[in-house]
Amino acid sequence: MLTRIETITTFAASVLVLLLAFLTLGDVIGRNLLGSPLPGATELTELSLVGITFLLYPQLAYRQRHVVIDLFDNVTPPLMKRVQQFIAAALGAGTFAVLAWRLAVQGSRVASYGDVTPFLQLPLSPAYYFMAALSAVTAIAFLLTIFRVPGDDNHGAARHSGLE
Amino acid sequence: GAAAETVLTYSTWLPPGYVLNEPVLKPWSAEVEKVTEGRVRVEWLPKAVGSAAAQFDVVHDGLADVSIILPGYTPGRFPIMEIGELPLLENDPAVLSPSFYRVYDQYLKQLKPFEGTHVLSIWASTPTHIVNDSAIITDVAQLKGMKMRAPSATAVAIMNQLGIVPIQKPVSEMYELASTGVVDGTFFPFNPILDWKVQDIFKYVTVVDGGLGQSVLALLVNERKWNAISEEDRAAIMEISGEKLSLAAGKVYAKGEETSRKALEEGGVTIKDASAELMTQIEKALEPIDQAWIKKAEEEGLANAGEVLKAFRAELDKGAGAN
Amino acid sequence: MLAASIGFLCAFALIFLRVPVAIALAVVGAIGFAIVNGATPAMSMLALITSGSTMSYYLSVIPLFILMGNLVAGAGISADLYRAGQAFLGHWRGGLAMATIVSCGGFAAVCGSSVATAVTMGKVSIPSMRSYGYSNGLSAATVAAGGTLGILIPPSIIMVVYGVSTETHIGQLFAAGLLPGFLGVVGYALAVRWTVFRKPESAPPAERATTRERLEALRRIWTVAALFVLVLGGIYTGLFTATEAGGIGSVGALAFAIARRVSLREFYEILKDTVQTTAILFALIIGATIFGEFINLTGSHRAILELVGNSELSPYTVILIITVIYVLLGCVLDSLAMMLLTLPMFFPIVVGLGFDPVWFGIFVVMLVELGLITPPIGMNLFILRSIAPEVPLATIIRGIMPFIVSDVARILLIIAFPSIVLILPRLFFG
Ligand code: NA
Ligand code: NA
Repeated sequence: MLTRIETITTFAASVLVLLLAFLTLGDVIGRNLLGSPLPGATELTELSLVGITFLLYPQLAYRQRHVVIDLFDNVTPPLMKRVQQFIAAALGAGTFAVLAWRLAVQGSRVASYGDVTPFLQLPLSPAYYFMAALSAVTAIAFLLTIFRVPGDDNHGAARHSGLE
Repeated sequence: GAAAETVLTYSTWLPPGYVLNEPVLKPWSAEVEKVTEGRVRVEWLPKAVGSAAAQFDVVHDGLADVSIILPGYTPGRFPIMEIGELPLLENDPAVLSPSFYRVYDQYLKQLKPFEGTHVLSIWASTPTHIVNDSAIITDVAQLKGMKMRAPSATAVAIMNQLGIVPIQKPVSEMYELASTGVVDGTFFPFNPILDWKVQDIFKYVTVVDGGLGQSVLALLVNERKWNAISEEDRAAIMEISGEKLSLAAGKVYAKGEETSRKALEEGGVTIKDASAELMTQIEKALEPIDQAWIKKAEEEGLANAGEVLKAFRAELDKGAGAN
Repeated sequence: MLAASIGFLCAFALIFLRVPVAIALAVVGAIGFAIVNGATPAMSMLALITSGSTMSYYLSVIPLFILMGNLVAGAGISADLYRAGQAFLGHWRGGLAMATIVSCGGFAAVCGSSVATAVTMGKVSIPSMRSYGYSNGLSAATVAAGGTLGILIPPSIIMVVYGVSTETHIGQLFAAGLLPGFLGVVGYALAVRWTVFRKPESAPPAERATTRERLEALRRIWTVAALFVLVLGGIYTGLFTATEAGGIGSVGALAFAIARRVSLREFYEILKDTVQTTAILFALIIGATIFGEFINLTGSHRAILELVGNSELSPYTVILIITVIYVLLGCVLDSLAMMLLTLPMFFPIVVGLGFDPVWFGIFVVMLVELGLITPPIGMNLFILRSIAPEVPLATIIRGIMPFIVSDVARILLIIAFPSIVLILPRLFFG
């Protein structure tokens, strides 16, 4: 079940990344060859980033893929590791719970303001509600890891960003 | 000891070299301290709190206490304020800016567009002109298919009316867009041409009488923080803010435009007024822009939007005559 | 000043307690903000920063450059690059290691990440060097160091992150990385020469390639050149902006991957890796931005600048102090985390002292590069452990020393001669 949800969300985010690439291509070709850029390419780009990142946050939390510094892992006693795990999961859950709440508040505010994107005039509040909902799921995902035994690499802990 | 001091943090998102910083905003900050005898102090933070588009929420929620917001950055949120962004209003910022303040004060304020914050001052900035890399524009037909960076949603509508292809990119990419030829031009006042160093690329400025639109800026303070200041201090601060500050901003803009125009001409940029024929064409093409604003503003509860716009133009004529 | 110092200490404490770096920075930033400015604004700030940093047009280059690099790596370009290097340099003493450095530089021209560069090039070059009897220490260290070129030679994800978080022009940063990147290749090649000079047995000579083999090898790498020219050429001729280059580059890489018959399964893995990496990075950026809001509120860089001004320290002394701090931090912190943690403090100070933001960007990138290969926490050292598990870490660390020296020399060089960094961006962008 969990794996299936993960597959679906990952797939959706992957499709968004591809769309993002072709959106840019379409915009550049339209501007240079057809004399007309893709309408709203900039704002669609911004919105797809919301999808790509927030769809992934729950599984990053659950699979413990966020960047951590594990310098002292070899010398940390098992009990301390459990405490560390508890602190990390609790802080993660807390942060995303607050985020879920505040993004929902911001969503309703943005709705009452009537904020829209500049070109396509798409309402912006759904993007905020989407972020709020996935933040709530992420908070739960962090909670689910709270009593996990650290170093249990079945969950596939990644240690570094791997982005450098 | 001294009376409890209120510190108002100012979110500094406009770039350090912004034309109003030194001659208007910093003196204003110092003045606030002086007129309240040190009871209220404005402290400029090292950098912006939050993004440029978030400044209204930043002040509303008290992340910082004071900031300048550009309603144009959040399309859909302040539709009635777009009256200040309309084209063909006025050439002289020193007239435009305070006139806009009076229209706001008289007609728009009652709709509480900035609810949850207190408006210290509000002004319209410098009218834009057609700035491009190929020639002075003498006929609207020349604009057809030209790629231009659109500074705002209102500018997008104006460009569409004129047959220009609007390119929506952040102004911070202006030099790259210009130097590499991604765009052929933009709508700019004189000063930003120098600020963004595009004077060697965009060598032609066609001055449109009344301009092709400008930005609206509002200086806001968090309401709770404001109400915590004593009534006499608030009155003292408003004494140096409001229309007075709006006029000061307009004057600085006007002076900046004058010196920038001189510098551009010395630098070999061709600057010409739009011909009467072109003006007629532009006026005709832009008629729907006024109408669209009136419709939008009426939907937002400004029942007499058409008259407000008329009153604004009358105010501008009066102001222009006075100078 | 005090609030900021306590903030940094708390952030370090949480990070070393193994709290995810993004969460640690967000928590300390929000609590610090709440203490200075009240709880309600702090909560609101969390949401405003999160949504604002996510819906940011500039950041779209991050997933796109990650995608481009992943696609090129998945398409197996690395073997061709290495073969070309081998055909030209292989017969020299230490030539295969130099070929590795040069092909890392080539791969870096189409890939924005150091780790991906090290992994991809390591998979082809290590087995080859081993078959010719190269020592483990030299071959592993060569790949670890060569991989760091991935973030110095454009495109570079770290430069994008720096550019976005400091509002520095990304096209200029890319141009600025070219000459130092070239110097990096030369410097690492010299490090190889030094190792071979000290221990000739670490690198036995290989056979010389024929002219025909060389031409054939060159023919096979034209796609890399084409992609590099597409991305950089497109930026500098105005076909597209630096922000758009990621999209164009990744579509180009996609066409290339399809031509190389990447399977659907592999393709999905590439996309999956791309979105995961993107989300990890965005979380870090958001956390760091929240932390930065707190540091901004304390106004402490102004205090430090005044301190520097009053103490009559020369700006170069400050740069040297920052260098030392980065080298020490780079030993124990993930390099990206290190950069995001420190920029809110260092950037305004350095710019306030009159240094060029583009120059400082390249300087930071080079210190990050160094951090990637300094023990005990050096991402590229670990990466080598995963490609070549039988090589002990101690052996890699011994082998890496000449490369560290080369890095330090290059950093000192750009401090002494900033124009190495600034000449190209000024040429391209006025
Ligand atoms: Na690169
Ligand atoms: Na390190």
